[in-house]
Amino acid sequence: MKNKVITGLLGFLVVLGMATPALADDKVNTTTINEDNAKGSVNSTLVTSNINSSFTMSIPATAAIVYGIEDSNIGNFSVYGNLTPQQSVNVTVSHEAFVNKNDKDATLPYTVTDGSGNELSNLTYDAQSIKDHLATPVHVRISKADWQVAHAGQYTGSITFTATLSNKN
Amino acid sequence: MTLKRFLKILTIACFAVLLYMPMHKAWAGETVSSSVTITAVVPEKYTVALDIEGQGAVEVNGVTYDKSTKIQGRGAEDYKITAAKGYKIASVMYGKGNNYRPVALNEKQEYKAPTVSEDGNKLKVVFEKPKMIEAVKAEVVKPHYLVMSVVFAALVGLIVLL
Repeated sequence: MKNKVITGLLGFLVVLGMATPALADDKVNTTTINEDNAKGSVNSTLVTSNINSSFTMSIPATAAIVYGIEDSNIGNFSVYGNLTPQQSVNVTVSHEAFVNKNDKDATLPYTVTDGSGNELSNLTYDAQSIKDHLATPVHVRISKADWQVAHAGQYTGSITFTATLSNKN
Repeated sequence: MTLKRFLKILTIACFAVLLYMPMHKAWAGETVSSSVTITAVVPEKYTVALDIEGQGAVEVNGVTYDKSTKIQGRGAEDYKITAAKGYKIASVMYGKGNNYRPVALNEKQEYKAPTVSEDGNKLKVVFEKPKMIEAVKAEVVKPHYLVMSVVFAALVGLIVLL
């Protein structure tokens, strides 16, 4: 009986570990990083906090672009967390070209924009923008000419959001 | 508990911990990346017939046609229709077989065709001279007849008086 209980508990742990990724919203992918301020106190007059800064990066989920559409909104990018006023989350946005599944040499060029014609490359979120629930729209822009000359087939690409929690200088 | 059973449980526990660990923790200053996969399907090209009646032109993918012809399209093309001077667009039809039917243009006089998956679709555009021009002509002519009638009546009246 004891063994069954232990096995059951461990099984539950396995299931818990596997189920955690599904807790995210279906429409977004999230990544959370935490800061552990494990710095030693300088002297006894300083008041230190045990609450660590952390943030959650929310990016659009997998998106299917409809043929012929020049500007497609695939969702929003946002950051949540408990940053201090001296901290910021710096995000770089990069993308890999659309590649034809059956012909690796056939590509479909596109740009990632904020929907207002500005290309998304670097974003900065600080405590205030997080408090203001700042959301940046993410658009995929493919010109009509590029659609027309593209080889037929299925294309896959990716947009990568790279975030770093840092202290402002 | 035998050693074998203990190792078995330990393996399961390690597996569970390894599964859970990568989900959350990272140190400040560490770079974290997350990607979104995007997909798109570009359809094959198919033959679409352009049937143009009357005076006017159809622009497709930057090329203007003023005579009936066949083009290579993927559907989802924008057909911009322009009537020649003195003509108007009488009708626009698009489709194939039972789906060949009148279609509406947008405010830019364009028709956005749906995605097709076979040859044989046809876009037929009929341009014609507007009947309003005839009506306007008739209205313009009417006063002329009126003046002539008055002059004629005056002449008859003058002859009678004489």
